[in-house]
Amino acid sequence: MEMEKSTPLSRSPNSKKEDGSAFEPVRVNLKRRKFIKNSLLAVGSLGAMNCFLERDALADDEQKSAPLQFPESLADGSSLERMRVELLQALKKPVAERKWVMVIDQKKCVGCDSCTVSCNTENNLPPGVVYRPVPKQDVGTFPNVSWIFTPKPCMHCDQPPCVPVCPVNATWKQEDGTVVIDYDICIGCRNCVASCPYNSRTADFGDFFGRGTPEIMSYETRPNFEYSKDWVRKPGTGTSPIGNARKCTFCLHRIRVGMLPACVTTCLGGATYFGDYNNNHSLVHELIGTPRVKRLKEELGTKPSVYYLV
Amino acid sequence: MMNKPQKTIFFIIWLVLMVWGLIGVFQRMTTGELALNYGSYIPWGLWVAGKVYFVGLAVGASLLTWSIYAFNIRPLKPLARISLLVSIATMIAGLIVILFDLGHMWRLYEVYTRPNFSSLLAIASWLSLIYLIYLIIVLGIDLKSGQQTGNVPRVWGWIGIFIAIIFSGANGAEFATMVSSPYWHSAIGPILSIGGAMLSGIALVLAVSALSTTDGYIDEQIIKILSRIVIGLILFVLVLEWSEYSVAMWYGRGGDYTSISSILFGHYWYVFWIVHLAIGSILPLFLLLWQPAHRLVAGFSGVLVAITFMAVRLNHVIPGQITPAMKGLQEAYTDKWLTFRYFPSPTEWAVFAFSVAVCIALFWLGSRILPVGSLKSVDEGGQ
Repeated sequence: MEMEKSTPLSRSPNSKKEDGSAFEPVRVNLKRRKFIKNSLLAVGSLGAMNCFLERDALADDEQKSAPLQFPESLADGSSLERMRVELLQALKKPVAERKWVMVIDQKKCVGCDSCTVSCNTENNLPPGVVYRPVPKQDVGTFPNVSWIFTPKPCMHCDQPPCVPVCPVNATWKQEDGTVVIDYDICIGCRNCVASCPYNSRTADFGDFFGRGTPEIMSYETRPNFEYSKDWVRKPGTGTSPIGNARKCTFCLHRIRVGMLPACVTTCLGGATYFGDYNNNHSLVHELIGTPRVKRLKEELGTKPSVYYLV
Repeated sequence: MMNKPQKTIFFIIWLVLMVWGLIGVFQRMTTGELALNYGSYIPWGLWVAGKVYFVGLAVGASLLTWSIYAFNIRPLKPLARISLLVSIATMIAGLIVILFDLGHMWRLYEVYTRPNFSSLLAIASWLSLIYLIYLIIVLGIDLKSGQQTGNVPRVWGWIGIFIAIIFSGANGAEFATMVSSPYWHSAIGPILSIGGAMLSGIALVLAVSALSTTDGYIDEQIIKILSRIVIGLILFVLVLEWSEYSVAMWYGRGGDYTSISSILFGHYWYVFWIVHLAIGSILPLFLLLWQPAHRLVAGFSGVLVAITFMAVRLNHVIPGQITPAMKGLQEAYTDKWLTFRYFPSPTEWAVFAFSVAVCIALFWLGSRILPVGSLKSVDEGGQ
């Protein structure tokens, strides 16, 4: 299976070039908008806080808190664009020089499951197959209770336990860090599914949401585009990917055409980041350098490519 | 040796197993994996446990033959061919049941055409084929050696022991090397695999030799020796299990605590306490201590141990998968296939019954066609 076929990259509507300089005009625009918003915020804040605070203290607070207010949401918007531009930059490098990683900010995740839904839609996932569930844990006791949301895609481990157990070499780790499956080779032994310590692999048992109803709707038999190929699931045929192990691909088919993974673009809270770790100036590289970072089950030595900000 | 009414009852039981099994095979072939109860979170169920069970029986039964050859154990020589035939029949049953477990069963050949030898599953698959061929070759050599069984050069026994231990160890290591499950990830796993194989396989040979032959071929002395071997192996396996379970349960902490406490006190507690421990270990232990040379008692004890050992295999395969990777995963996205609860579906039981029926048929046919010293010779007057 040809995993790294070069494909034309889509252009950003805001960019005039495909190189890194395309990011600049966007940043200028955002700065202008940011300035206007900040000014409005500052004026509003002044009016409101005047009732409670003395003038001197207000001046101090305003100076400290201003960047933490509305600009947060602006930063989310810009981070998406920044990640997309960095993605385009990474695609220009040889495959071996990129390393795709994902960063998930658990403080920003609101547990809306939109990433799960978009992933299911993007990959046309059948019953029994889920690439990105969001386990929810409640912590504390009343009245001090809270939720922890842990979106859980494939970890694309640097030392993946699922790869060496495959009896037919149907799964492997690519140079760009992604762990992939060749559906045409996989025999469906589910050894990789059993060996994943994150329960990140699932198996396609050939089920359909419309099974048992008068008609299986056409959306279920439309192709998905995993690994940049059309995979059509037809009831009763048993052809791949039915019978195979399946997992999150980091949306490789989207990445190749310059698009971010579906879960990144649809994250309501702007909690999911994606990019090239080998780019020292990338957003994901910056985030991984913060003290909030952790990885799941690090003690196993699997070295996941998905990082969490706690 | 069974009389005619007993034979009829046995045949009816076999027929029921075969018909039920064929229905299951038909369902599996026509509906794919839709009628199955394993899923994405418990990807290995009854059939994987069944494969481990049958392969264990095959290794255990043949290890008896290899020992007879290698150590030239004269008193047990009449058992050599029967054990090999038992081993071949159970080995084929194991291959059948695991074939149906594959999502793409027609791609099985890929394990042999493009193997990944870092995978213990690939190693075990290759060894299962090699072992089956080796069993058939050695049975052929033994049959050619004349009327007296067990007259095979010692070297075949030594090679057999070597392959059997590697093969059985690889089957245990297939689970023990997985970091995904603290319960599986245990150094005792491969040892328990070999010990369990020896117990279940030799118990099956005891059952077959005690119940399907007469004194004319397998005398009470042989039954007594086999009974003692089985007693020793029951105790050995119980010690291994105690070691494994008590380590996790003593302080009630650790990664494998959940799995082992579910075995002992979970929904299927009776599989361990009643099926395995009471019926499969303690009862046969007492029976064999009481009447080690009694053909019926010893044979019945062998049947109990051999059949109920499936409970041990199930208790090894399933509980290793019941712990979610993280809290909240089971509720995060739910459907029939994404659950951490498992009980085999009727189709799974039926296909397993099919493999049992095939196993019995192969042994019966083999003992009819080949002079292995079992059923045929008994029918002809115990010669």
